[in-house]
Amino acid sequence: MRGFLFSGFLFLILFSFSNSQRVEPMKIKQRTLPNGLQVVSLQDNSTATVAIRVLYKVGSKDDPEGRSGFAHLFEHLMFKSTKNMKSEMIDRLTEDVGGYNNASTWDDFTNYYEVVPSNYLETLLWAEAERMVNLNVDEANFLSERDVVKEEFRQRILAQPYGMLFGQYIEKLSFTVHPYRRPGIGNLEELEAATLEDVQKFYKTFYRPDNAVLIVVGDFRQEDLDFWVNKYFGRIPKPESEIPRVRVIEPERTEEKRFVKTAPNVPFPAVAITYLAPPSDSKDVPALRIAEIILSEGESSRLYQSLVYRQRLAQEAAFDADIRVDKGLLIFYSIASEGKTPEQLEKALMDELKRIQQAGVTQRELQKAKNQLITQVLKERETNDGKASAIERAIAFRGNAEAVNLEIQEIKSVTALDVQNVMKKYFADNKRVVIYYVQERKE
Amino acid sequence: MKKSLLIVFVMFVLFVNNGAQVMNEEFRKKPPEPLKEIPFSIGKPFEKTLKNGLKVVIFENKRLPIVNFRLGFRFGQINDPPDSIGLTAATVEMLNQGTKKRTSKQFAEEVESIGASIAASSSSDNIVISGSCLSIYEEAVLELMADMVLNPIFPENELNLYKQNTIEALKFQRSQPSFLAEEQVARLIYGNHPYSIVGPKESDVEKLKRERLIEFHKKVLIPNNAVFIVVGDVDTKNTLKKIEKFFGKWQPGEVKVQNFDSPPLRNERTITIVDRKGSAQANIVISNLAIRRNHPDYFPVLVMNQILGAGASSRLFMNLRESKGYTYGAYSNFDMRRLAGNFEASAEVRTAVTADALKEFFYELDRIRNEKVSEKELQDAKNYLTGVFPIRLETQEGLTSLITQQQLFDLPKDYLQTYRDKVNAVTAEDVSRVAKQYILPDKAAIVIVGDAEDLLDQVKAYASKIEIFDTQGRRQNLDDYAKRDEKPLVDVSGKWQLTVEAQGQQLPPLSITLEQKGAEVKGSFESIFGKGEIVSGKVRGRRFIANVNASFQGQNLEFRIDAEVNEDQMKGMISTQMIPTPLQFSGKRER
Repeated sequence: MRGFLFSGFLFLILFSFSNSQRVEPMKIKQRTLPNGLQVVSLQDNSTATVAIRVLYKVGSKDDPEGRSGFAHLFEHLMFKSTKNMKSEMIDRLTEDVGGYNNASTWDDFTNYYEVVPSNYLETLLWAEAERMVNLNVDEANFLSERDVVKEEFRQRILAQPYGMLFGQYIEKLSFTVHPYRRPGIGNLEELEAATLEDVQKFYKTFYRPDNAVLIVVGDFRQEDLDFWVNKYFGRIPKPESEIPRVRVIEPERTEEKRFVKTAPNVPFPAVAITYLAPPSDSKDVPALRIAEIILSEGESSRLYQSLVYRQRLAQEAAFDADIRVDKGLLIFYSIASEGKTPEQLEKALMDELKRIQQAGVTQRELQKAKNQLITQVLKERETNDGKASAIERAIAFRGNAEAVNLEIQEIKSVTALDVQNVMKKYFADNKRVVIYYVQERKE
Repeated sequence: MKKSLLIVFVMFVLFVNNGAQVMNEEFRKKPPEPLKEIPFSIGKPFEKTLKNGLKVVIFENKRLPIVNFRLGFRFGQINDPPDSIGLTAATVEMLNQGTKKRTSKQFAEEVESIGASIAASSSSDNIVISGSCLSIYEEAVLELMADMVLNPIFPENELNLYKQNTIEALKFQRSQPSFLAEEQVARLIYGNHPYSIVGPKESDVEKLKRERLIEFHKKVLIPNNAVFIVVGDVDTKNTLKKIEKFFGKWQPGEVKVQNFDSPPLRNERTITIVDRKGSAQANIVISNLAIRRNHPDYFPVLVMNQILGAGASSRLFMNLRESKGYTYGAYSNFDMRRLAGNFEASAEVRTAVTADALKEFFYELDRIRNEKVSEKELQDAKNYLTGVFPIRLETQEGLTSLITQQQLFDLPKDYLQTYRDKVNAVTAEDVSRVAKQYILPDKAAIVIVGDAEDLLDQVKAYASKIEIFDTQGRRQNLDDYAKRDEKPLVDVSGKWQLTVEAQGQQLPPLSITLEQKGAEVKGSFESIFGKGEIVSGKVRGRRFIANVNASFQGQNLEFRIDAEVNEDQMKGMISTQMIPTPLQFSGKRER
């Protein structure tokens, strides 16, 4: 009885929700300098802080042949000395004034970002311009940073019981021709093979104004920003060479493939089942994000309730929509409980897939997923860095900063039927790759 | 004329064709100076006290359609009844584990379904219940928060689960050196004041009873000892009405003012060692009584501590890590609570350099007391503090936390509005004055968690009074340690093969080659992962103890061997900072 009343109450507020929730669009300014640098800014003087991001359109998929992991290694080197900056000076320019900075390498792009009190904006623009054009890596810096990245590989891949599965096998076995088949973390041999010459070549090829986007969000005056951007970035020359682009297209799958992989430290078997995802500009992406939440966000999600809670087959069960610029992956995975087999996990995961394909999702599940997603989106936008990050994703994945203003409406418009349809469209049995990951047997 | 044209031409060629040349422009050589600090204003919130005594504070912030709530009580773990330590924490954490209207599962499901979050926690001074959601769900979250505050039923089965989990957590705590250090620091600094209690014991948790929680909840979660803070996209009038609707019928109770014993006056420096056998590190904490949270010297202390040890550009870090390499980080901190507070300087160092690290700590503590800080250091500290402040305030969550602090610690009404001005007003003289007043190296309590046998000799010059505890908090007899300085009874020279077990699995074989002279041992170490050197090895009686510096695939690693030797066999433990529990090993000498 109470459950029924509650649903009624919930329905009422949900109804009011879809009609009343309004979010002001971000008023983004865009321009492109003569040297090709794209500049995106959003002025917001409600706090005395500013977020700066430089997005380079080069990611792990652009790792040179035989140099898997190179884009990530290069990201580390961008914190080393330049002609006019000491190593790690970006840390001092941010942390010492109360701010922070970081960088990350994605499959499709690499970003560098800082948050500082707004009176330091010019200083950081100077620093980002400096490392865009004056990077000055020496042998000692290069060798020590290469060791750091190799150590990261050992810790993230070798030392973790499921590191090889999630950090290596899924990508290696899921793609046949696209460079996404080479994991961004690389491998020890190819990292070891990297040279200082590679570094210089990579820097020249990809780190240039016409391959970058500068994003500035926060407390500034537009004329100041424009002046500083012209001064520090405007005179960086545009190289004449063409920027190499990945043009390979991963073909549609036509038959199921199955693999069994082993490692020495796998306490319980795991299963991963992958399908190819649509590219990031597909209109199916919002429905897949909703499906991701319904299937695997929190303890009330379907996979948790079924595999972990009711059937006690697994300690973890999830669905991940790994959307990329080119076709990415849709991955079901699970790690077994004591005594359970990969066959049992596979069946249980596929039962849940069939269920959502045949019966779809309930209105309540749909609304809950929307609430969670929209809350996430709005909380991200509380900070200047969050807004800059959202704009960056819009540029990287949608090719258009303005797409950030569609995000909430796109989530709201997804229907239960949309969710059911995408779950039918991308998940055919003859298009899956099934990986069992188990303990290595001693001879 | 021709010449100058040529120069122009050459410059033009350089500019157009040679990017590197362009990038030598003068303005690139030095980072530009920042602008003057940019002011920003924070309005003052609406405040009203309801009839039942509940103070309501509302701060409208309509940037985004979200809202944050905090319900704070000026009542904390120090107010636990002396016969029931842990009662406050248990009562608070059980609030959403079952109410008159909802089971714990239903409660969680409802919160999740609207994308909200609700949590409850307690500290030594306060209880805080927090919530956040999309602003359209304001009413739903207020109703849920009221349900957990007014109607909890503390179900027996949920309480049992709580007890079980808490006891597990207590056991885990004792494996953490930082907890063991805090336990001693609290005891030494606060004596009979309840700040000396860092948490319940297992026996306290076991005897928690449902009836006691019910009674305690009624008595202490009362509106006239609480403040309700709302920050976000709300309409003040409307929100006030909703709070009245859900919390208006809440019955006030009696707010009892409790008097506690004063913390003891210390008149000498002491050393307390927590003997964590086989520990490769020493966790050092140097502490003395300092100031409470709403003390007028708060801002000078904040600036002084920033210079001394709050961050990675502060003096302690620059000295002990950057210049000496004793540790990954050395810091100082003022823990400021409602009734009192203490100063702490701390670092985790390699055991072998414990005494050296103490020397540098006391050097820095004396220096900040006795020498005026430079204008640059002072300005850097202020830049950090005034810079981090607006970044913290960017989120509603950050703003809400600061308003909660201001309310619960009775800070001035214009605390947020004048924060940066007060930081900027601190002078070098203020810094010296508060350093002298609140950092007391001669009366400090030094607490070190590590292997007592290794530490005793090293550190005894730093205090005339030394005491030792074990990891269970039991006092040990110092004389027992003195006696352990025995003559060697075995000779470990030779090559040994070691077999090490980790989580029931055998690791690849290791070998050590040793050379003993008197009680001293030197030697080397080898495995398929890498090689190393034995430093500070020694034999005491039948015991062999050594630190090993090894290099594994380019990573430096220190570990410690501690074994009992019996002819050509040894058995013992290998420990490193990387793993929480030591590994068992056995060894055999090659003949």
